[in-house]
Amino acid sequence: MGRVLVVGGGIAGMQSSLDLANLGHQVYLVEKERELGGNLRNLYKIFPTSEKAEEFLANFTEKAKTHNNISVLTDSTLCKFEERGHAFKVTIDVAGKRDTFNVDAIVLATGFVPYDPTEKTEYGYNRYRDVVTSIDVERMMKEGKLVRPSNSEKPKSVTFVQCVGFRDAKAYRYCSYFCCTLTVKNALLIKREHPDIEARVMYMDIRTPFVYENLYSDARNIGVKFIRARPAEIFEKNNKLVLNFEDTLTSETHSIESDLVVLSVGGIPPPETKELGQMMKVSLDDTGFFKVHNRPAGTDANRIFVVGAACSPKDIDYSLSQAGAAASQINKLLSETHGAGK
Amino acid sequence: MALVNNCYHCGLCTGICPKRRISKYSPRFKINKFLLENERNVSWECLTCGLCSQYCPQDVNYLDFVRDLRKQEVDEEVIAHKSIFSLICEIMTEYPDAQGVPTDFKGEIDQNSDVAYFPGCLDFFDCFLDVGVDFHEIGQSSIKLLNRIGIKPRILSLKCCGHDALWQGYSATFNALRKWNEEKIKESGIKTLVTSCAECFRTFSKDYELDLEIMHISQILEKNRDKLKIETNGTIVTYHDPCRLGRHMGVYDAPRNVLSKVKGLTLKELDDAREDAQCCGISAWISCNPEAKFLVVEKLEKAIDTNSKTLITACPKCCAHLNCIKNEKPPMKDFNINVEDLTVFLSKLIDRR
Repeated sequence: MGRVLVVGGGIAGMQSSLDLANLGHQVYLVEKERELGGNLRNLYKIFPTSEKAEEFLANFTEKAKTHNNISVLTDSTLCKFEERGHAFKVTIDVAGKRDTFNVDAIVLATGFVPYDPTEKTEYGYNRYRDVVTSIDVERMMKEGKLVRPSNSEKPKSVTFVQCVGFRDAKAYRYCSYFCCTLTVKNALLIKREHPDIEARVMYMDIRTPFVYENLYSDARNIGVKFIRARPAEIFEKNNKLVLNFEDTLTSETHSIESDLVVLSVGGIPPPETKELGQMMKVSLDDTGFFKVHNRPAGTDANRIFVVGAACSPKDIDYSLSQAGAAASQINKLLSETHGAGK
Repeated sequence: MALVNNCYHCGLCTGICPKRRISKYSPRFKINKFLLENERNVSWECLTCGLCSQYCPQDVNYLDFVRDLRKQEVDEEVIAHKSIFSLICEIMTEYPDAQGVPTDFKGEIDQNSDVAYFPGCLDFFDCFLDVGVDFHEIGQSSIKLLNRIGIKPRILSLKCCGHDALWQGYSATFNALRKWNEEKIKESGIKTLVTSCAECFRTFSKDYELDLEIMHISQILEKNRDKLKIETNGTIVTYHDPCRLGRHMGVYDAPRNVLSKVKGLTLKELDDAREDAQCCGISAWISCNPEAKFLVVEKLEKAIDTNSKTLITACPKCCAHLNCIKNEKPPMKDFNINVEDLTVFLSKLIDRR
């Protein structure tokens, strides 16, 4: 049986760890935070099932923590990496104490970080308190406090703005894949939980692939208003946020007021991606994420794999599929040198 | 026209367009018509202020698109002052022997200097514009300020830089002016070319092929601001970013740094300062109409709201447009604010000592 290092304890890293562990391999799961879970820890309810992220996640963390073949190393970071023939010697800082491990393969599951839209000055994030991001609003809903940060009052209207910083030559060119579905889900949840709030979505194209299209039609049916526009500017006037935009379906320009504006932000590569790539000689895409060379999860470095949002922003289901596929790829590789898994 | 193929019709440009606030003009619709129906109607409404391109998520170069469309045909009806300035440019190109602009300025001048100052069309403005501005004084003040920072410039008598011809669609005129000027500049052997006009500065920098340092007067003053030693007793001013200097060339700090070096002066920012500065209303003498005047009035009112005594700008054209409304006879209202070019403002402070 082989030994595998999994870097990143988000949903993808945990899925790879569990699959490899169930096949009989020894897994070291390294997470830099105190808790496993990654970005999912900030989410309220997940699509398409609407189950609570917290409960969904608990199922995974419980299994990972109690599995005999998995050593969960939280509060830990990778600090040294050496290639030794068909194996790697890695040094990991575990809660301030350095430890060395020998492993046969590595899974990069470093995920994404949400984009900080402060540099999009025209949208006023960090200038107006009632302009928040989609991650902020998930947290607000999770805490049961969907209120205007400026006065703690319940908003009468919430406007979601799509593609902030994405599909944008001046920030990130790529489409971040999950944000449309995330927004549609949140608008739908707001309408279900607070029918009196007016929910609007400003979009250029709604990209809700496959069955997520059902969420989109549910959202339309429940009364979420979809406006095809990319706001030109957002500013505060008389304690309201004002959005100026052209409705590109009618070619009319409008100015509308909103109590809360949610900037829908996508995922960008975590800051340590570049350094990690250089250390392990793994190439990055021009988007800044790890590049998949040998599909579904192999990188251009031998025995190093990448899963989940570490190679491109993904939703949960897509991340889980790739994480499982990587485990299968690794099992095949290790079976050649260490004997087949169970 | 690959410039606009990237457009994905998000409408941000139309949402932010200053012209759209007062008319039905839509940059996105213009692009849509062009891409789907190959409609190539010339756009005379566009101010070419660059606000849309600055924020365009697809890097569509709407300015160059508009400029290319204008090359097809020129409508003299939309050009203000009966096209007189276009005519001057044409005369300059019709007669190859024609000399450059007048350069009758006083001060310490050294015709062998590496640093040259080009006044632009200031003296022509004095001949044909009755807007209450002494344009010659902008050139005179520029020389005085250059002298003050220890530079004895040479004065270069080039022909018009061709900015207006280029943006009005007279591409042949522009090319002829450019060719003549480029040769003249290369021949002169200067190392630095200083202009007091934001349009000349943009045109020499972006539309000419010159291998020398091109500086707006605010930049060379900023570089030597410790030598300026100008004082005033507690005057409040505000500053309007000309689109050619700001968004087109990215020069926002230089004029501000020069002004903040003036002892006793308070600089108050307009609420649309820097990157978000709204156009003064007109560019390249195109479409001077009630819509344009609305923008001029709006700018003046914003400046008055800052409680400033003077609105300073760094382009003679902005100076002309903003003063034009003030000098209408009879004026539409009493605008209680002075509008001055940066150089004239500074130079007057020196004289007052």
